[in-house]
Amino acid sequence: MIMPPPLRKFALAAHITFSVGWIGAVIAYLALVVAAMTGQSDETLRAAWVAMELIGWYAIVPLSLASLVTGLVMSLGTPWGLFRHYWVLFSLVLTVFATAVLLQHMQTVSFFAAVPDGTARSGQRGELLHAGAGLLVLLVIQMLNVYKPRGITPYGWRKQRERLAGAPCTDDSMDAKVSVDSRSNLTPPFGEQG
Amino acid sequence: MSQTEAGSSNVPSGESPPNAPLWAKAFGVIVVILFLLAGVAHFTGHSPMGHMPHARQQVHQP
Repeated sequence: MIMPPPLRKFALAAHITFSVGWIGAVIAYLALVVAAMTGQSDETLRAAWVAMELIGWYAIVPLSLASLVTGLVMSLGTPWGLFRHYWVLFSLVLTVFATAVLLQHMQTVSFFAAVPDGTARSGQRGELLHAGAGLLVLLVIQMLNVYKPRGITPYGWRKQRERLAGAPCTDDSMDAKVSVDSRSNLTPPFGEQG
Repeated sequence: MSQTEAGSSNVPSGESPPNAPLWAKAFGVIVVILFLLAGVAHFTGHSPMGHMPHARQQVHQP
């Protein structure tokens, strides 16, 4: 079902907010990781783990889920579709992957936030890798959504032919336009508007 | 890529679907490698999660 323009604008605004917020929260998380790794005092380490747990559960996880849900809404509610364009497909796969890894990793963060300082220090090594790689994946998704590289999937091609053959002047004909110029102003899912 | 030129018809020509663009193929390979690395690291205990069981043994509950 294609959303009417006002609803599409609102969904896009929500999706941009959640997606950019997710990136910002991960950057804040990285700052805590670096502070904990470079700081010498146990108090800094303890405070960093507690703050990382709070940011993770109350900011990063909700933002990631909200970004995923609004991305699904955007793709299914616009002519872009979910499986019709490679850039949308890769954005979906990477977003699901990042969210799954995040949810699993937060259990580790909660664990280290509750252990004594000496043990918690050993967990910092993996945090830099996790948060750094996570930020990289999010930036790749953002680039995909901004540049929207061309490429239509076999499924998208088939749907396009079916719909254009049956109803050449319907709203679905926009889908064909999208495949020719993927940098159009249609609202993209899983990332911010280009 | 069997898409027609802009300005004429927007329907892709030909009876077979267009090939995946080069960037998509390269991206697919990278994503598969990423998944494999994450899976291997997880199941062999070399991921950051691997610190947990070792660390749990050192936990001293008050």
